[in-house]
Amino acid sequence: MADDDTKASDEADATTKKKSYKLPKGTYVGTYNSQEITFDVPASGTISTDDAGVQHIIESSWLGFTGEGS
Amino acid sequence: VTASRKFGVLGIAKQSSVGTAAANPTYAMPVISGNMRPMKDTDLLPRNGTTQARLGYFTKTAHGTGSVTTLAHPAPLGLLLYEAMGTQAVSGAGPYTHTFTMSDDYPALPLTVWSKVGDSWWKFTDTYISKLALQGTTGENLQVSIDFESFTYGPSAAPTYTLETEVPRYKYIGSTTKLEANSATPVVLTNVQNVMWEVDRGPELRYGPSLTPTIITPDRMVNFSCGLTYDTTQQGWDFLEQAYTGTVGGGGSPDQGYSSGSFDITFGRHLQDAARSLQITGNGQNWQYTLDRPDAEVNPGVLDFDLTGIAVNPAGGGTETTVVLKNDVVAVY
Repeated sequence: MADDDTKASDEADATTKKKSYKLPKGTYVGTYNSQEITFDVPASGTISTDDAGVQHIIESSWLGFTGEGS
Repeated sequence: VTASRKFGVLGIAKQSSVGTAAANPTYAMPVISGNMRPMKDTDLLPRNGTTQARLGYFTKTAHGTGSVTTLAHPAPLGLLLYEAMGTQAVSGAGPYTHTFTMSDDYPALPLTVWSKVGDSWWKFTDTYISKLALQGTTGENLQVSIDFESFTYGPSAAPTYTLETEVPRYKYIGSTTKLEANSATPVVLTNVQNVMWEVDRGPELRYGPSLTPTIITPDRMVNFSCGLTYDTTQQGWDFLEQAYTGTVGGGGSPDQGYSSGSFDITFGRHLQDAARSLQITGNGQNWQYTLDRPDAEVNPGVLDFDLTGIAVNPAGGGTETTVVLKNDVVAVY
């Protein structure tokens, strides 16, 4: 199973799990690992991503996102 | 001979990469007070071992620093907020809604800052915002004070720039202010006289091998304070009761923790243009405030008090404060 592989490996090398968030539609900019990251949230308001940078930006600084899934 | 006047200009531009200065300011504003200045931190060299003669100074660090106050011009304010807070979003279509939230990470791309005092221009590359404060008083224009830290500096030729127009800009209108005590009945206040909102990042410049400066992950602090007037409809009194008894309208015993509330302040850009605005909120019950009971006086007048506190990180993560800026800037900063 992919999940088992992820758990067994070192955290730094682990493949980021896909997560879904609900956010207001728009273009977002934040920073992760000293890199500026830009991403769009479509009109549906749902973004599903396995990008660790996008997840970090949403989880560390965004208010109002709801739901986390895989 | 022509005398040099004290008039100052602040120019800012987001760099495309660390270490490379922008060519010209994206935004330029008249300065109300303050400046940017080069700094050299020096220390004494060890004395000569046999004669104890002094051998002079050496430079420990060289960097740029400064504190500048300008009016809160609608367009450049967004870039300053992003560089201070760390995360931004844009949506909508004229006026565009820019939302800023607090992030652990400084923006990866710092500012190039130009500072003009009199006829002298200086340019500061790789500039980070260490503190940003918005201050508003009823009926007056909103001001923004910015503390900068820069890695490198140098005198500069005058860049190509266009000053922001004097109007419109954000004016504090007290009637749109909302503050909530931690009560069953949120208090909406119409008598807030002044507000001050501050992001204090407290970054630290360090010099590593070969004296290459690096910046340490900054603190993450948000402060909010305001001056209120007590009135006969319990506005304000609720805050006092809540702060010392833990409940509004009842005795109760003192709460061990601080009383919490929220703030929601809207600044109108112009009375005829309410769609363009600046809104500052502290989320939920994350504003922990303190205040003192006012003194009675024999002289006539109203009772005023200062409500001061910190915004704390929500238990589940997220932002301590959110700023929503509606202006004519189409894209993200």
